[in-house]
Amino acid sequence: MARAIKKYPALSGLVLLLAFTGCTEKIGDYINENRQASVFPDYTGIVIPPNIAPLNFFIREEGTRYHVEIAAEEENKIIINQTSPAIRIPIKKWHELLNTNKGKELKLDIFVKNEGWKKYTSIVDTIAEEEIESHLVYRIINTQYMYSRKMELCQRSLENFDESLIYENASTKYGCFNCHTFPQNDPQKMSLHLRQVNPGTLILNGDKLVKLKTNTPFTMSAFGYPSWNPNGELIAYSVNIFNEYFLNDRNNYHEVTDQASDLVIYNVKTNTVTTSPKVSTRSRENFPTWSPDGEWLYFISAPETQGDFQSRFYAKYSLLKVLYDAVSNTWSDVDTVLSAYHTGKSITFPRISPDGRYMLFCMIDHGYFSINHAGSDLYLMDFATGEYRKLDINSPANDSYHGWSMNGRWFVFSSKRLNNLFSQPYFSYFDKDGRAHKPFILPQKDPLFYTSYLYNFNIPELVNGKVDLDPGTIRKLFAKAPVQVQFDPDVDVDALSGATWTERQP
Amino acid sequence: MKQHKSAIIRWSFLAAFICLAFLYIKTVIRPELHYHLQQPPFLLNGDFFSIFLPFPGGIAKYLANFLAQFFFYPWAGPFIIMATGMLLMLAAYSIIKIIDESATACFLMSIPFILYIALLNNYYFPFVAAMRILIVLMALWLLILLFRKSINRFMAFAFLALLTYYLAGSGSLFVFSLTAIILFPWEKQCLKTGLFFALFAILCTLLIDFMAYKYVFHVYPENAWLSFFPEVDIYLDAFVNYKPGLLFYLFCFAAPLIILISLLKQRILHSASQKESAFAVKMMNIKTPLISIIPVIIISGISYFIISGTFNKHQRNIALTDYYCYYGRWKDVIDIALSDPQYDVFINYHYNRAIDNYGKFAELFYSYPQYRVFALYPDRVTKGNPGLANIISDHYFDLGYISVSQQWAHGALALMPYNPRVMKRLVMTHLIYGNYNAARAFLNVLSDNFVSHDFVNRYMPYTTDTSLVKADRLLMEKRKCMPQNPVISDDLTERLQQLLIQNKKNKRAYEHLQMCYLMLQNLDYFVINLADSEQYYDRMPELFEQAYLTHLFVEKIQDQPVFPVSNKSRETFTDFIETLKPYKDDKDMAMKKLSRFSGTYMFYAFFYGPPDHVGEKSTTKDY
Repeated sequence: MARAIKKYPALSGLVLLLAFTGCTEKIGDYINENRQASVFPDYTGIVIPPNIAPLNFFIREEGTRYHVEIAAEEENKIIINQTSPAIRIPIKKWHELLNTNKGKELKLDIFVKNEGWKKYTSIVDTIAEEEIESHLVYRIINTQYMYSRKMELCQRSLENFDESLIYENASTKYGCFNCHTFPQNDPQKMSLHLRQVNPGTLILNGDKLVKLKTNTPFTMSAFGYPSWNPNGELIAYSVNIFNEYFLNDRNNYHEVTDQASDLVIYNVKTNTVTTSPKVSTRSRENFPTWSPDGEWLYFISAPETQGDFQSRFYAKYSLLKVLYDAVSNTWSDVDTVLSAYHTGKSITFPRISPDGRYMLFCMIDHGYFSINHAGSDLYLMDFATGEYRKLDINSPANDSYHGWSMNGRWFVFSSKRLNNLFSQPYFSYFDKDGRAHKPFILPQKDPLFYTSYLYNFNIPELVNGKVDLDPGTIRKLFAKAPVQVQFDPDVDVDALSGATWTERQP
Repeated sequence: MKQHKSAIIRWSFLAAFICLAFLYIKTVIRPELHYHLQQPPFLLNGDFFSIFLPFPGGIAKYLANFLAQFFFYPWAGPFIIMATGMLLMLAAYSIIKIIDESATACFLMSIPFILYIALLNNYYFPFVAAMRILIVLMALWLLILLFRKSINRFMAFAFLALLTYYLAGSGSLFVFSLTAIILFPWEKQCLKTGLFFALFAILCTLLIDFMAYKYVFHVYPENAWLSFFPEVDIYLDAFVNYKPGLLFYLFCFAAPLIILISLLKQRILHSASQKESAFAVKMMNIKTPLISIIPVIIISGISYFIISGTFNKHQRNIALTDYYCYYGRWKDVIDIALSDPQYDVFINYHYNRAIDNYGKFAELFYSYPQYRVFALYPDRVTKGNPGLANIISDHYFDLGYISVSQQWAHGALALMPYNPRVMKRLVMTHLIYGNYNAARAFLNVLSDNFVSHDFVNRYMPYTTDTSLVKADRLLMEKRKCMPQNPVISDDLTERLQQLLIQNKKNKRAYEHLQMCYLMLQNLDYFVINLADSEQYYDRMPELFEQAYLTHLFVEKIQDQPVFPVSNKSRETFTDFIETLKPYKDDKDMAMKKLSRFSGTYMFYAFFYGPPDHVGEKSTTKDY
């Protein structure tokens, strides 16, 4: 090649010139198309974090050549000119552009050449001042849960497209695993429960990873849905006896309900589990979540089942709270925060903003397993006023599991709005006035990724950094005998109605 | 002249062998059955390709899946298998030729191909195994060429070992290393160099396996050292049903095997010539063409013995009934099922589906031995078999219970990701449900699959133009059948009743419900439902008449029957009872004497009771 260039410099120059001209064909005259170009995913009119990965997109307009200019107030304009409608934005230039234009508008000008060039109305997004967490942790699962089969716990950098495995179940005999949780979005501490095959709850605490056996004679099941206290020492869990149903509903194929459920608190330091008659009643307490000061435990609760399908399946959950003093191990009386009686719907997945002012939650017609309810919507409660409202960002499809960023300006949630079948993670900017802005989907390197991806992104959790765990480490722990958690001897077992449920069975 | 005759015999043998092999593959094995049962996933896009890259052996699997797509076509499949087989032979020939320049190479090279054909008799044989062995043989061939070119042997080995490991996995690397040690030009090198090379090869192999497992690839411990199955674990597909036996491992170790045979043969001839025994002299004096015939006879005998020994007509019938069911060749399914003397639960399901679609459900139900009530309730049999997940989905699709069909299709997809057959079923169920975006998601994936273009071209427009759905008779018919009660019952009779509540004209649901009562020997409910039979039949099916007569007999009802019963049924029933009387205390003898009634309800009721319970199972689980 080098020899050829030396031998025929003029010819080589011409070839190179032609090649470059072909690559960056200039736009001459163009006509204005009085509408925005159709792009996938929908990245129009959104607010984005300054540290987000490039929002690669696909132009759904017929054309032979595509020209895209991405610019903001400051310089560093990005120009892409190509024959493919799949726009992949250079990552380095993208980050330079975003970093130098925080708080400003981002303009995308799209030109499409068919016979002549057409310019579409500019897409205008906003670059927020506030960054989002660097990583997102989610579980990849099949739909409908007939077989769990392939399940993966992945972490994805939100600043680029790097994805790595924290755990996958293929190397541990396809055993199911569930809810991962972190305190204060801290990747150094994580809880994860392995089910069915060599079951146990994994607790990552700094560089220490243990596997726990969390069934005790005084609790009805192993640990269920978790919430780390911000102090990093306590984890509230539900304990549940589940029922599973397959449905004839076109929007909801699968339902999980509880026959019974209670709350317990696990102390990571002392390896003890405690509870109270306040949160272990004959009602069904579930989905605990801590207030940011770590003092209040919010949870949902539905009336006791009457042993029939109706009361089990169509239960409506209210939102309650209780004050827990970890030092004295004492509990206050339980308060009702929001009653299902008033809302007419069932409340589930409460999550409180880091400043403690707002609470995001889901509401569905019945039950608590909102991830399968097409009618699941996100609601926001303002603790300052005590009022709640349905967010404008909801779609007709399922919008459910959500988590806050630690600066309180972002939240991530699951939505099935693309195809009413598979869930994907969406991000929304939450401004100082308590307004959630139009959400956008997790960007992927391939802009058409979501059109043919047949798995669910389940339980998206934002974390500040990478979780230092890999499948090999978990695999080593997998076969080992778990450490038995100890039930708090100070708890008056006889006084409990729920947590002692299994103990008192004949 | 003698050599010329030998060559003619050799090439004639080869030509005949190839022709026969092709005929056998085309007419007996029928690669389209392999495709149908395995549905190798393949999508022509970068994302799909990238799934295979991070696994040792992933490339071989990707190639295998790519080629196996074409098994779908009745002529392309045999050609691809033949081409692979001939490449195996060519590579084997090139290797053997180096150590044995005699005519034997021509025959030994056919061993991998013979084993390959024999293994293809199993319809779950993973085609990737052939790809892997091909890669090993090619790498060995290349190694020998590099040995000859006086390129540093250690470098050449290390490079090819790495390449083999990445392309074909740890098991293939082991075979490659083992064969390389045997192939090392021991006679031209001093023993010390040879031993050093062997040591190097062993260490190199262990090191590659270890480093790859520990630091480079995401390899499971059980696959780290000697795995002949793909590490691309989400693509277990065919392997769920494939149990490798001795033949499989002989095939995997075909390279060292043929070299050892060749070396052994040389050693025997050499020692014989050294001793100049009478036998050796006699052997030397035999005319060459005659000598050439001996290997032909041996190889032909081995081929016949192995290939016919592995052929299993019953297994082929299972595959054929599934295949014909898929293409709606109901009569063929019925014929095959009834001609197969061996019972099989898969054939049972295919047979029931065939008689259902052929409109003879109530007539021919007992003509094939039925797996008790489970013959009507396949989802109670097992949850772990991917083949069964498809069957269950088809079963409920036919009945019009789309939610259950879809539930099982999603289950099948979890077990067999990107399986085209499953995705097509999901497109249909989501179209029936009116979930057009979900249907489009599956169609988008299928559009990257070579053999699904017709399907995509047909149904993709449905996702944007709903008038097409309304004009589609099948989809609309199924839409009318879908039960509206919220929860899918675990009780089969309840499910069938829900189908009938939703659509009184659902004859299949009625027949299944009635047959379910018969299998449960719940004749009271059966008789109550008989009143509705006039909606579906001009004349009640004979099986129903027999059951009705049984009911009257058991309940000792002497009155005139409420429902008309034909004389033929009365005669059959009376004949059965009369024949049974002398043997009613000796069931075995009775069964023999009554074998001519084996297609009747009475026979089933008398010999296959008591019924199975199909009540509600517990839904409680550790979730």
